[in-house]
Amino acid sequence: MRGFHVLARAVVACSLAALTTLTGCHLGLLGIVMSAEDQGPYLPETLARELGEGHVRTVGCLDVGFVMHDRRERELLDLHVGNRCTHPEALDVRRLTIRGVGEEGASRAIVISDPRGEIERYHVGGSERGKERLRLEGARALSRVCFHLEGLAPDVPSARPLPLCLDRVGGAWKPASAPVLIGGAT
Amino acid sequence: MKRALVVFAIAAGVVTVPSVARAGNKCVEISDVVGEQQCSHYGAHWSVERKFPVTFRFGLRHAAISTAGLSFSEQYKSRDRPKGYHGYDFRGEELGTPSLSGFGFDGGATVFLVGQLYLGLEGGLALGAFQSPSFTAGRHLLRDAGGADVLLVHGGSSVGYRIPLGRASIRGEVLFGGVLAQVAHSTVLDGKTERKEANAFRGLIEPRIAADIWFTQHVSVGVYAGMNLLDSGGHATGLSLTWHNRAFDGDMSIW
Repeated sequence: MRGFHVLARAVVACSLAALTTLTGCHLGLLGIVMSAEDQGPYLPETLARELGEGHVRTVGCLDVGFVMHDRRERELLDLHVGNRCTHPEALDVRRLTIRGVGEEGASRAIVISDPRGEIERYHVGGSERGKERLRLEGARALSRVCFHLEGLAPDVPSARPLPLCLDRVGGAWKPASAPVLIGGAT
Repeated sequence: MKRALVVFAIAAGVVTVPSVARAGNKCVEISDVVGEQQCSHYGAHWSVERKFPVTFRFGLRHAAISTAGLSFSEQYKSRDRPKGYHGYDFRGEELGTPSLSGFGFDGGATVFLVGQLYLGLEGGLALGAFQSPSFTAGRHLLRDAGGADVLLVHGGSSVGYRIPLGRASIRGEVLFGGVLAQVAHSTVLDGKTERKEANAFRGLIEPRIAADIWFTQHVSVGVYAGMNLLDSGGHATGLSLTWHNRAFDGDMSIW
């Protein structure tokens, strides 16, 4: 929808400018479009720079970043994705396996909440980036969470990315300093 | 000519208002946590499948229309003229030039239907000048008005297909619509001199070839050239800046 907002501004600017000067219309439009902050192409490693290397894995063309947030009644996961390539690349979050370790030391499966059944295999547009805030079920009182990324990018079935683990440290989630892998898909 | 500009401004406003309304109504509160909102569906901002496949184009256009066969009629409102007033009419051939041309701008929107097949709406406005001979039309003496005395307004619906070639693409499309040609004259009637305009209309079936180069995944620059199948002298060329909601229109390659 941000795109529509940019468009609206562009149309207004263009209409006004067109009534005064024909060339001004296009120069103004060019400036507006180019200045839109989310219109630039995604560049490799951008997510790693922004989130920290420990929060990001690369699977095929996709950089995928994970940031956990604690809320009083639920755990939220910010899933970031950036496409390094100019062609669309499939992303299937349904195949993301999440395992957590509770404070008591027991491992358990974590599920992404999808009450509207809208999480499907979609293609990330070429050079596009995106972010989704997801609610995790069964993730309360965890000390560690690990994301197993096999199958996350169906276009590269041979990819075997390392799991990404985050530890809860003083109320904040940080990349596991000495990852002890928790079993993948059960 | 002023009227045409006002019409264009209103049309631009009609396009703008719904966009603003949608942009302002994109989020709903989902909890009692301040600022926590549900703003869109999964994938709505990045996936090829969920982003609406629309493009918006603005550009410069040079257009020409042949005068042969055009029938011009004075543009006026009855309330602005004396009772019993008869406007002037003339044939395009009387303009003393085989064609009228203008340079201006155009714009439009397209929506992809299936794959790279798209439908669009577009309109444009071009201004030009020509040296009109003096001639009479009924009781009116028409003389060259000077300045920008040609206005070409076109509009219509297009259908086309885009062939992605990496950072470039070529498109073939056909625009169906019409062209309104307006010429201004300095007219003399009963010793009174006024600047008046006359309009003529011609249908438009304009096959085009176009080529685009991507600046970013959402912005491309392109050129097009087309000719009107209903007018042997009617042709147009354009340079366009296009904003694409889907990255690279969802496809970078024909394979």
